Amino acid sequence: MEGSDTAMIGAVFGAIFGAGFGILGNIFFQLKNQDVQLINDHIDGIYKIDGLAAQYWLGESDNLPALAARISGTMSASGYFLSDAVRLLGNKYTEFRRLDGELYDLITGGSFQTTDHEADFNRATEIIAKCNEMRSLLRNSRWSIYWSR
Amino acid sequence: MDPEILEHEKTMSEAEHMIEISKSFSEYPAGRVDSDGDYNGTRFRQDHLVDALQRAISAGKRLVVSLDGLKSCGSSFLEEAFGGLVRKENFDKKQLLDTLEIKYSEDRLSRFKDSIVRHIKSAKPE
Repeated sequence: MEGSDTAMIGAVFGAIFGAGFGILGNIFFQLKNQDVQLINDHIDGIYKIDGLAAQYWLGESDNLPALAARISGTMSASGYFLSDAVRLLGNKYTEFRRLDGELYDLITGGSFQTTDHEADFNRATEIIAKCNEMRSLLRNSRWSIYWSR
Repeated sequence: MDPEILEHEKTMSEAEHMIEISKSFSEYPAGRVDSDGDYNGTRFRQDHLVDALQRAISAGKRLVVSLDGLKSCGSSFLEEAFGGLVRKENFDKKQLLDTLEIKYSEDRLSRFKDSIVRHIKSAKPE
């Protein structure tokens, strides 16, 4: 086999491997971006819950039952993240579950959806702080697992 | 009780009895007492849980509560329904946790199960 043939075969294999790695890399980055987007969506969801729940527990609404319904819907929507959380958050999952449970009880517990409902500033403060803690955990996981800010 | 509701609260086997909250009560249970709405925690506890639990305990069987189909459910409802079993109906916590089996088939409902267990554990008889 002449040197030019060897070079040709090498070039063909190189091109095939290069293309293969390119495709695999593309798939990898697409999957990674999809996972990062799921985390971003949940962070956005926590912002929404945070705003609505603070409004509810600070008593800043003329229509509390309607606000409670919006909170319930937003909380339910955020529950779908639990299906992906184990895979997405790795060793932060246990902490995430703890925080998620605490937030759920804080936001929808006590006098939530009752006629006895009264503003509770302490609860509102705790909700805001806990939502911030949750967002921080999600951002840290996004960075440590996906190297994405 | 409505025969259709009784149909849902059917005996699954000799070993256990099942209550599916979304079918036998509501997909949107909310609140604590009657003034909060028809599908409140006190009503669920009194009409669905207490008798079924007493029967299960005296027969040495488990009571399965299925969360499947719930669209939304506040922690206040769960506290009144399940925490209320300890606070108001004087059930023993350990016996309750041994007898109740909370089931769900979607991960999003795990939040409700965790909350039920927390409420039972933290409740104190009144």
